[in-house]
Amino acid sequence: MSDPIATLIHQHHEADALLARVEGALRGDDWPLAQRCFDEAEQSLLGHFELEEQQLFPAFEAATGMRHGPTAVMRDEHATMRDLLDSCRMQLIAADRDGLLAELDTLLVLIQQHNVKEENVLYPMCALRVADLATLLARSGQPA
Amino acid sequence: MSAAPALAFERAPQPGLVFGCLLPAPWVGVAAGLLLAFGPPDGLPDRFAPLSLSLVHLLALGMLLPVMLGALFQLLPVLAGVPVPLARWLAPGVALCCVGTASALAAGFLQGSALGFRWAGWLGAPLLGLPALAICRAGWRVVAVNASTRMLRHIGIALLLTLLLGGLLASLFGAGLALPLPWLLDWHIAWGLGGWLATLLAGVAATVLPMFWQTPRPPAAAERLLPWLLYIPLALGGLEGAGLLLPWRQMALAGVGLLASLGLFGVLRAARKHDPAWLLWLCALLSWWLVAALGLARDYLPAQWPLGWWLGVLALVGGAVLPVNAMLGKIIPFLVWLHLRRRLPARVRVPPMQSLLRPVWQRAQVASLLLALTALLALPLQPAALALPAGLLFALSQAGLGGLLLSVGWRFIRLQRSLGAGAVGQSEARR
Repeated sequence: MSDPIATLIHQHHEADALLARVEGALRGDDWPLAQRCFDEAEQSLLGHFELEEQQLFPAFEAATGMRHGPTAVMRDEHATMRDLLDSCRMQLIAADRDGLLAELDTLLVLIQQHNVKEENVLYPMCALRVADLATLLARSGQPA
Repeated sequence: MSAAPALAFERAPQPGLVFGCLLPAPWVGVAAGLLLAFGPPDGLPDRFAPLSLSLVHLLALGMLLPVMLGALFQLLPVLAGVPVPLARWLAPGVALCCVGTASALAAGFLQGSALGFRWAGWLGAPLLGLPALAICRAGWRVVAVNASTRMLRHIGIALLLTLLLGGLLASLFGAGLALPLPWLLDWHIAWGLGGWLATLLAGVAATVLPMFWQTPRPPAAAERLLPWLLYIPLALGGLEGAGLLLPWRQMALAGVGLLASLGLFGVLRAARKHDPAWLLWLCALLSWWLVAALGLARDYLPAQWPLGWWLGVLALVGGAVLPVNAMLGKIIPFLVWLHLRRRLPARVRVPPMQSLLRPVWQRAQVASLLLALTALLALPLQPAALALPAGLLFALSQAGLGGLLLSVGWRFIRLQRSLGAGAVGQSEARR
């Protein structure tokens, strides 16, 4: 596994850990911590989606000619996860603990199955097919 | 060979096909519990008591097999990109065939009549062989890259062998012949519990534990153990039929112990231990670990210990019913959510999974199942007195799950109608 792929996987783990901290904070009724961790998790996830959609997926599509394959599925799932993040944000604003925990539960499950697809299939394919992946990802300001 | 494998829910079969295999399972569990509660307790807790043998086959064949076949119909296309051939024709008959065969065997054991065995051996086993063959065929096309796909590639063989050996034994009983060789029975049980159940659960767990409970993914070296860690000793067991005595039972038990230890290591490091079903996985892995430990220590334990009963309860209820309950409580709300999301327009908000199956109800169901497991393990203390409460507790726990899943299905139908109608209404209002 090359470094840029390890960085992308690290971003997955970082967001997972932050969302788990949101859940933990909510269980301890620590709303300020939940808010802070959710802000960080949201920022981390949206930044990661943007990196993939702006840099990685177009490069993969250009290298393979596959425009309606795995990247299209991943984009759809990003859209669903963005909707779920919005739902979480609404529950956070309403300070509805159970509602937020329920939305987080669905979001986490969706993220995990999405990550498995990316880490098992798409990233290894990108590592094989996309030339100079490290420079490409670094171009968007992400360390690679 | 298929293309590179990926989780691809868009390739999953229609939900009705999978649900048809999964949803009857708890109700067969209810029947098994009631049979224990009100059946003839003579001979309990001996593993060869008619009631013990009936219950084993009701659970393994009537309850667990349809769930596992349904799971394979879903997992092969989703995890490995390989649909099961003829799944849409085979799936609708799976639950009926499994329950029918299990009932015929249960009747055979309880009444001592050859007719039940003949039905099971001559009709049930061949009919169940059809989905097993389809899974073997699909498995042949799976590219094995991790624990789950390694399991999917080879699991059909274990099912086929278990059914073949079981069909042979049932036919022998049906023809009025006595058990020819204890080895044949041991080999049937070993392929059923180790080759089929334990291997399938380990392969499924490698994907679903990280997905639903955020456990660490298994290390690559551990992933390569499947399925050979168990299949090699089980294959060596065949040589005993030719008179070559090898320690294959001990090797298989050690393999089960190693898989259970690896699983325990992951489950104890789960990020989402607060999920109600996490406890079921923990107890399931402890059960498999105990199966291995007790099985290996068998020769050094007091002869009066009811090891046969304990090993059966630990493997079938602790090791299999518990994770199957955990999975049903997760995968059905997830599939419902996913199908609603795919069917409804993007702007329509789909309620979260926890509003389909509330954690407080799931927690109560988990507690009732663990209580039932405890009662079943305690049964040998006073078999005649404890069979009734243990059976009723087990039936109650499964009725609870069955009721919860039916409520999820009912909400699926209602949400599909109401949200779909709402979405149509919104789009018409925009016009």
